Amino acid sequence: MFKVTHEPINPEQLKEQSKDDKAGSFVVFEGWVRNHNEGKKVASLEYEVFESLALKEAKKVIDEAKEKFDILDVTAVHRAGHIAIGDIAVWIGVSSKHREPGFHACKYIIDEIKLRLPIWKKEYYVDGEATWVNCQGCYKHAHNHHTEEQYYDKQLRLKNLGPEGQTRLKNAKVLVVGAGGLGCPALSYLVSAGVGNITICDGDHLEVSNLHRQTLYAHSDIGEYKAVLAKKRLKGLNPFVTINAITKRVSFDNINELVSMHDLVLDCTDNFESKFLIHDACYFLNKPLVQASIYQSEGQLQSFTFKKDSGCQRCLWPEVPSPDSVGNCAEVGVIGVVPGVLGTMQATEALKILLNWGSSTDSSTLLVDLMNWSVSKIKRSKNKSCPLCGDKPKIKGLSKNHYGRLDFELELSELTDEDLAKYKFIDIRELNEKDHHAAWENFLLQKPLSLFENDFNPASQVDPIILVCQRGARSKTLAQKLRLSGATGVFSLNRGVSSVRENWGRIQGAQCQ
Amino acid sequence: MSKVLTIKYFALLKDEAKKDTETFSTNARTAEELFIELSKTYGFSLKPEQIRVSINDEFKDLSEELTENDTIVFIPPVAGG
Repeated sequence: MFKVTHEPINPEQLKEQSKDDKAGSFVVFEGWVRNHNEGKKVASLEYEVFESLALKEAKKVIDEAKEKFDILDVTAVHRAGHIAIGDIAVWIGVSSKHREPGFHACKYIIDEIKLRLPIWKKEYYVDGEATWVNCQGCYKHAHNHHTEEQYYDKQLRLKNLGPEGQTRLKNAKVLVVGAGGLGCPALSYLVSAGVGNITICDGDHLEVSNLHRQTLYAHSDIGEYKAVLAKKRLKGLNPFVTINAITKRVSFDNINELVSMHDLVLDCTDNFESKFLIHDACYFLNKPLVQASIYQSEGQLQSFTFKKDSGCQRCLWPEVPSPDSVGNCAEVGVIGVVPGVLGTMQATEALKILLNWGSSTDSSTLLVDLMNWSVSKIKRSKNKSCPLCGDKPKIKGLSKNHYGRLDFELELSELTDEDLAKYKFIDIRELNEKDHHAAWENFLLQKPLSLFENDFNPASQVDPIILVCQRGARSKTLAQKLRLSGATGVFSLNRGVSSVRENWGRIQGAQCQ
Repeated sequence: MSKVLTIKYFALLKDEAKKDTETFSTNARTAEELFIELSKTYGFSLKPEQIRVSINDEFKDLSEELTENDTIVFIPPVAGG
């Protein structure tokens, strides 16, 4: 419930109205009128509210909060009219079963209300002056003392960019897949350069071990969707661009639609299946692609504009390489600056392509080693026997067979509760990767990968088992290996711990029966 | 006939060779033969079909013949992000 009132807000009464026996937590935010702002002494305030629009927008905000967080109900009231120092200007109460979602939802609601509701504030100062300080209702108006020309001033001075180039960027639609180590810097520079329409596609939640290299996020953001967090942060960076957040991984089912809606794609993912899927979709839809990958202190950068003579990804690698042909993220490790540099290079290539400056990596692959500063630029020629762009292509369209999950990879949402009860879960992450605060961490059987292979006997395995690691890469490799050595009931959990977290209630229910 | 080559290693191969570049004298005729020879020295965990080779800054087939003073780069697949 949201309302606008000209009467003083009565918190006791609102609290009483919010009572709910199902609730174990009640989080309240009160916004008070303070006696100073930007160095001036404030005597009182006046709020002007565009009420019909404010009510509609507030309802949207509350519905979003209910969708995002596990809460029961929301009561929110905003004052209108003239109010005094110390008065309550806005009151938000969130009831929920547990406190954590209550805190998150309350913060989300007040942040969005401040950002999106058409409410104007006039400050009356002690010295007798008065002024409308901002328009909170429209984010762009909140910054209306700055123009786009001012924002882009330093790059507009570039002779080969100018207003024409800036318009080109403003009209561009760019898809960035992956908002991790590569995606964070790439997104920052695309947004601040004024690429007008950006879609961020990432299905992961922020984890504490991401923060050393994923510089768009804060420690307090842990657990939330990266795509949503990145969008919020980037909107603050540049109010003149439109940003969409998609909280799903790219898949065979959504890739065509995603790619076809954009002019250019940045692949900032960290696994071969996604890279090949994105690459092939870009080939069939003829969209330029800028791709990077990293390994410790090294990176590879390549662009594909699918010109006649230059080689595509499959000219080099006809098949998707197996995940064990490189080390994995937890075992190999990375220093944050490496994806930082490579992601920035991706943004550079993307801007060059959008501005028609030409890409210098669309017919070659850059190998960069930050440890010894070596850069090798290796020419990629077309391979006549390429299964995608060769003389007799075998891949004639996107088909699940080329990227589909292997039959021992499981998606929990596809299992019934009854099936779920049959599996034994084994967490194969190393001890130092775990967050021991989460209840489920201690519920799963623990068998770190480093100890697993020595004492696992496939013949003695009775229950079907599901192997769980952080992302689903190590569990997949291990399941593959165990299957080859004769085990039949061994599966790998797709997406690893994110999937456990999302389905924790169901797993616990099924396993405790 | 023996020839002297410059060899560069990347990613997993660099870790396993414990060096990023070297000058190497070999009788190997092709890039594949060279890789197999080096595998014996360094115990590479990747097979020839799992890597790609660049000769003088251009991706080439592993069956490409080597000549004196070539610069060879062995490149394993990389997917991190």
